[in-house]
Amino acid sequence: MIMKFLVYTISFGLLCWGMGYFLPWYAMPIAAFICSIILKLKVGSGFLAPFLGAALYTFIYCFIIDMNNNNLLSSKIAQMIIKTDNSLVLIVLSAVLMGLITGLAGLAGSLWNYNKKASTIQSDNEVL
Amino acid sequence: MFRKYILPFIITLLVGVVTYILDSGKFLPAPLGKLLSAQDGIWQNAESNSEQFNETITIDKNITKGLTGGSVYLDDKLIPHVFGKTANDAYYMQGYLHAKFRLWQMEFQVMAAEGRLSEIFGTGANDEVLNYDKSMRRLGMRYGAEKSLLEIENDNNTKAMCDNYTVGVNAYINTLNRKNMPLEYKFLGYKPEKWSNIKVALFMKNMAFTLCGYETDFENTTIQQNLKSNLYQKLYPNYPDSLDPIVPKGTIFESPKVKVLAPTIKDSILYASIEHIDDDVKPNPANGSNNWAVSGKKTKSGAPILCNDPHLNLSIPSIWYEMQLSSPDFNAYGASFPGSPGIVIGYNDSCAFGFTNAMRDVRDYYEVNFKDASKKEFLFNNKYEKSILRVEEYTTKNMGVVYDTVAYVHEMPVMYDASFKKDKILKNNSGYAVKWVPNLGGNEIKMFYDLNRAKNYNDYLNAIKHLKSPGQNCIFASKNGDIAIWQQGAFPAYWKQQSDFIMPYKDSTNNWQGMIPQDENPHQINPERGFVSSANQQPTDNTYPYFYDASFANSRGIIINKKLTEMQNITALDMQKLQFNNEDIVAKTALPLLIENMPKQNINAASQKYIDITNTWNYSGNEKSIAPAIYETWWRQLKLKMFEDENIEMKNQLIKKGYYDYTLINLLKTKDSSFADNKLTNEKENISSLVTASLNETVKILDSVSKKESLEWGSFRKTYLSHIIAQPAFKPLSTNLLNLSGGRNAINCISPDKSGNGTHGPSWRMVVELTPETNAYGIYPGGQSGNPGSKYYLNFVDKWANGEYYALWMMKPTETKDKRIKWVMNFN
Repeated sequence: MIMKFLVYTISFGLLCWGMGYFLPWYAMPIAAFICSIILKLKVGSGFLAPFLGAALYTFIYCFIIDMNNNNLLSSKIAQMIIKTDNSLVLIVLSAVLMGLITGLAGLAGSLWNYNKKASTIQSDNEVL
Repeated sequence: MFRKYILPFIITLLVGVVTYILDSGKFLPAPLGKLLSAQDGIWQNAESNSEQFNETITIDKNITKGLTGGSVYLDDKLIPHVFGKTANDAYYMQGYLHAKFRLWQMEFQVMAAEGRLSEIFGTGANDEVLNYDKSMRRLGMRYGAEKSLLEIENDNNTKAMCDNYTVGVNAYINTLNRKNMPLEYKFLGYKPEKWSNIKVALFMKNMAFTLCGYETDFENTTIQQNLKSNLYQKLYPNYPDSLDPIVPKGTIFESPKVKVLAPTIKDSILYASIEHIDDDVKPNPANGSNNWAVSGKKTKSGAPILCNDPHLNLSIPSIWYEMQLSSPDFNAYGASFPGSPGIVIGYNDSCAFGFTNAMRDVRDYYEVNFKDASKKEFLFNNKYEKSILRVEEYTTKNMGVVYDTVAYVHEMPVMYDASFKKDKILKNNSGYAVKWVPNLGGNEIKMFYDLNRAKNYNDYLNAIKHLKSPGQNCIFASKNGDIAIWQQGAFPAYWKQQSDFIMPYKDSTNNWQGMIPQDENPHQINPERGFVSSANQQPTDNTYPYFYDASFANSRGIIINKKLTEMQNITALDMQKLQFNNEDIVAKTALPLLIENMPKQNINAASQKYIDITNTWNYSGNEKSIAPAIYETWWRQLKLKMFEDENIEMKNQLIKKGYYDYTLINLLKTKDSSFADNKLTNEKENISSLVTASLNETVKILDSVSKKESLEWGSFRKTYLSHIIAQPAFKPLSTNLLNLSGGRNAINCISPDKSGNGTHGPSWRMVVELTPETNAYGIYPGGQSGNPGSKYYLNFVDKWANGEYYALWMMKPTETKDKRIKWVMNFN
């Protein structure tokens, strides 16, 4: 179960990285939304897996860029956006923001699965 | 039903909306999602330490005719050495490079000139941005640029130059995508549009506005209305005693070819009916520069040396981009303007050239009377004539499209009328039309084209004849030994004080009666004294046969001329030191006068402490000295106190216009209390009571500052180089506070910008010794890259701040293996 979750999370992170070369950033939430429906994910993993995938990918990607840039730009942007010159805070913010929006899109996708999973098992609930 | 459809629908919608907001930047100060994403956002602008700039560019032969390409060698400072196979190739490559390293700034400056900032920022608080835009259009910036464009495109050389430059810029714009878009576009959420030749013309008008857009006609008129004439002369004398003009005193001028007749009606009638307007659309009056050239007989090498340091707002990215530009028919090196082709201040294989601002006022206002609010007709010679209406359109970011109708009266745009600054002039349907030189057109690009190719004095003279605006002191030195300076530009032949006040436009009485013929412009060639120089002072003494006025600066010229007269066996290093000279001769005169007028009995222990510090001062604005902070604060407090009541009487116009240092010096010298008594107080003030009060105020200010911070001049002034967008949000893209030497009256003319944002000063320091193998040095505050994420963004700043220079390298085509070359860009 956990293995499956990890495989999905990492695959999703890699997918985000790959998409980044061809598609705009909002391809990530769109992909998370579609994947949740196609893979019939439950609400929990529908959120958590894309959240972690997108956040990890963003964190690692930005961390490497920032290292090669000697924190030159990130410290300036951090002052502009969050009034601190701490580059790491900006990297974490980027990762969390990307993770959140992608995770929430995954969650939205998984909510549409309610019908498929529940139609036979929980038909009583629906009447209620 | 709810769990099955409604909830999923609501959450999906919500996530969609949030994603849209994060992408578009609507309802947010910036598009945060796009900005912080790893592969679209700001992270893509963080240039690697080991960034490589090698590139092969294929020229699109469908767009360009006859281009064959060439190579660009980028050295370790990221300075490009451009070798075009033809001149057209060189200009194409220059356009590409300007765009690659400075696209955002060049487009932004053009949009500012064109009155389009509300497209980027919206209309602003109280329509501040929109009003700025309207001012630019109403001043005729676009109108003037359209006229200039006709001239640029009528000349085969400048047309080809601009055409190829434009194609080069666009070739780079075509490579842009959401990843490599310059940072500022990402932040502000817009995209660059295609470049075109009109933008080059607009860029030049922007320079014209910066350098010859300053005037104080409304302020003068208000002050004149409220002040007796002899006091006005006392406040603003036309020719101060300290005059050391560009063309030395005693130069004989021939009788003028254009005879100007002043109208016979009395001044008071001219000013009586005119209402005051807060005319705020002006550049910084301190925009100025130094330049000088010494002949071989004064130098150690026997070759002339030319020096230039233009003083501008020291914005980041810098106004300048350094480069070598060459093709088989020319080879020039120096500072270029991202936004226009050619080298602006620099040298070629035969000579060197540079500029300072002439400062002369060439912008006048005429009061026009319209028939009615439609502005379709105006009164002239007791008859109504038709005006031309031009509808200006503003696509604002937040309010949609806004229209503004501007009336043109005899080719003069009406700047202020009932629909702009409406509270003032609605009642009699009047308006104020602006007449100024940049609206006459002009092909200044042609000057740079020719200067880059100039071989001798005659070539230089023919080149500068293309300069109409902004009027400049064009300096020249050549390897064959000639040195020269011309104050060049299109200057109206004024009657006395014509350019100073608002004039009625009922008939042609107050019109410009002609332009000063070019050969009567002040100039000097190979003078006996062995040098030519200019530093924004008056060009001539009062025997010059034409009237002019402006906010001239006199102190730098005096000290430059004094030093150059004394110096012999000059080397390039001596000239570098002179450019970094911090001596303040105004302080040298003013401070002893302050002390002299300070009654001994009024000095207490607190003030004695500061006076003691000034006693040992050598009048140099060294960053470590405390004395300059004391003197400048004291001097400023005295000015404020001296003119406090007069300023209120004159609706704040005195402060706006500013006071001259020498006015105050004269009042102190002669113990003249004409302005001293403050009518707002019961006491009767005089010079010494004001000097006392201003010293007490100074003690209070400095005591309070010194509790928290140092009074050392470098830190006291809080100088830093501001990003072009001088707003708090963009401050992190500026430099940190810099400890800078210099002063507003020193040759090293550095002072905080008047607006309180950033610093004003030498934007490019250049020394060129015209030995057979040119020996040149230069530096500017900034760096070659306009990208805040590049290590080449601010890398020249520290060296510049210390008064150090880089040796300038005019690369030869055979030096392609030189170890200074780091990267190559091939165009084919």
